[in-house]
Amino acid sequence: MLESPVARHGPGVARINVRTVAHEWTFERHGFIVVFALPATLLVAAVYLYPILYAFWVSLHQTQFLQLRQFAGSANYLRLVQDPTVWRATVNSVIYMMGSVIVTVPLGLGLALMLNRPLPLMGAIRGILIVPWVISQAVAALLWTWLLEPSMGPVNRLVEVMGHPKVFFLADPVLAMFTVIVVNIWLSYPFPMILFLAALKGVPPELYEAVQLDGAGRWATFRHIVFPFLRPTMLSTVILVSLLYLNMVALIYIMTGGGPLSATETLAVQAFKRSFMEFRIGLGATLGTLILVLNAVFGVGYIRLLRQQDETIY
Amino acid sequence: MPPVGAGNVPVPRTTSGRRRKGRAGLGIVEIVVTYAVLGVFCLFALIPLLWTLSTSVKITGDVLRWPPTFVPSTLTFEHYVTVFTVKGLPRAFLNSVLVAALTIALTLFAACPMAYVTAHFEFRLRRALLFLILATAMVPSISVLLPLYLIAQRLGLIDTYAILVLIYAAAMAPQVVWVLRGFFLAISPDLAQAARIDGCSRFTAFWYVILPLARPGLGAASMLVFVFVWNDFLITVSMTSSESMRMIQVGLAKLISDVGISWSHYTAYTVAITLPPVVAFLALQRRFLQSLVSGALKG
Repeated sequence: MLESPVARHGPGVARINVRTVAHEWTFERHGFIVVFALPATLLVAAVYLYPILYAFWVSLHQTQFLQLRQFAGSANYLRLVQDPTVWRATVNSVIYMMGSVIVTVPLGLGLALMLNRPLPLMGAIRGILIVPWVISQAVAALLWTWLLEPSMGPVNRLVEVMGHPKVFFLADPVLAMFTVIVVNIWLSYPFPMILFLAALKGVPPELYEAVQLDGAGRWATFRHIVFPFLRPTMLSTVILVSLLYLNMVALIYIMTGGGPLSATETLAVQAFKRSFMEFRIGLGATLGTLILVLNAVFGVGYIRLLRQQDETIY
Repeated sequence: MPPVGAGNVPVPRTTSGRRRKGRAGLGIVEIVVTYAVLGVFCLFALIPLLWTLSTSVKITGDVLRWPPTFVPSTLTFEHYVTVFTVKGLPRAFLNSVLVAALTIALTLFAACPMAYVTAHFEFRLRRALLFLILATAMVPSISVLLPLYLIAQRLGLIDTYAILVLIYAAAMAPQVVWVLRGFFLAISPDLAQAARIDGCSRFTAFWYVILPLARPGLGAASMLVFVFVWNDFLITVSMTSSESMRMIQVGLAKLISDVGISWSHYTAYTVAITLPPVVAFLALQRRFLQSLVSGALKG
């Protein structure tokens, strides 16, 4: 992306570099390429590509505990479509993704714009603001469960002091989803912020100076200089952040286990529970495949965007 | 009035209010607002963590006191001693450090050569390989965990370091290829050519000439892998079950389900396992951010 050396040197440089390498087919040259490309290819093929196919194969079977029974064709997929809990989980996933994206992306953009101002201490503030991104989902989940805990948690003690009855944040279905989203925002807002900061660095400083000489105000500068620069990043950031939320398991699972009353059970959490708690592997594999397809749909859009920005990317 | 600029940048009519500008064209109000807003969000980011830190060094009486105190009246490290001695933290720590180190080694072993050939060589399958890497970077763990579990079970790999290292390395390899490829693209292939004229083989030219120049990239990539392995919960909870194989994040969750866990122990454990990635990040902030951006394919 914008900070990669390709972008810094302009795409032409990288291309010329590649061309200067000799092109003739020799056993020695191609042997070298094969040997160098092999380890990563094998690793990824064995641990990522083969399991995808295997999951698809499992999803076409009736299963019992961890055993495959007879071939069932599309039976699992039909069951999935007719299963109201799957639809519920889909709706939950959409609420979780939208509720988080709507806050984290504008927040990330706003903070990045402020951090980009040439003022003292911005490096230190940036460091502090990014810290939640280095915190694990498990730690964030338990930390906030503790802060919001009804009997001893500091937040509820504060609520009580203010003369309000205790709030059971994770016991009420609607409130639980809201709470999980808030915690997710706390944990993940640095991610879009980092992406926007990198994109802002790509705006040539001369451009700012030029428009400021022209007397453009802050809003005009943003609207006509910064925004056009950020537009491709905006879209790819929304895609990356949405995928992150779609696939998130640990945070939700540890905080609520998908409850109460399946109110926070997203598709990813449901796939995890079906697979590893209930060992209904047919359903688990089918859900996993469904999530993969959703990722692929977003992913194709993302890869297209990358190519539009930089044709040398692959 | 300022001169009308060329191009399609419209000149706003009211610029008189912006005459007195401080540093970098920012008005004093804007500067104050900037710091105020950023300050509020710094508090939002840090208070939960500082609260945890403060609770972990409080004596039990302080933890239950109302109104709560942010700064403990007496510092105590007994909770740290407890989690390090009786709560199984050392074993989990050791497991995580070991698995992270092995994963870094395997990931770099696989990703480095791939990044190099796809950056400096033109060959028929290059685009296909790069597409494969981008595509696998977008496969979520949750979609492959179940089949991996079934395969690992058949191979007898459940509850072993091997399966963890393999999965982590494969999960991180695509991103690491992407990060390292960026670093290799910034190095001229002429250097390797020159070394070969001087008698190096392709491999020795890579090993002695190119790779040392990409060292910052290797550091950044190792850092990404470390944080990923250290913070993972999902993969380790699916692939291990015995207590001796437990890694730190699962250890934390298990600590909670233990009966009678006190908040003091819990917060001490949290601080102990959160400190390494936070310190590493703050120390290597710039490089870490750079690699995070160029490898921003999977969260």
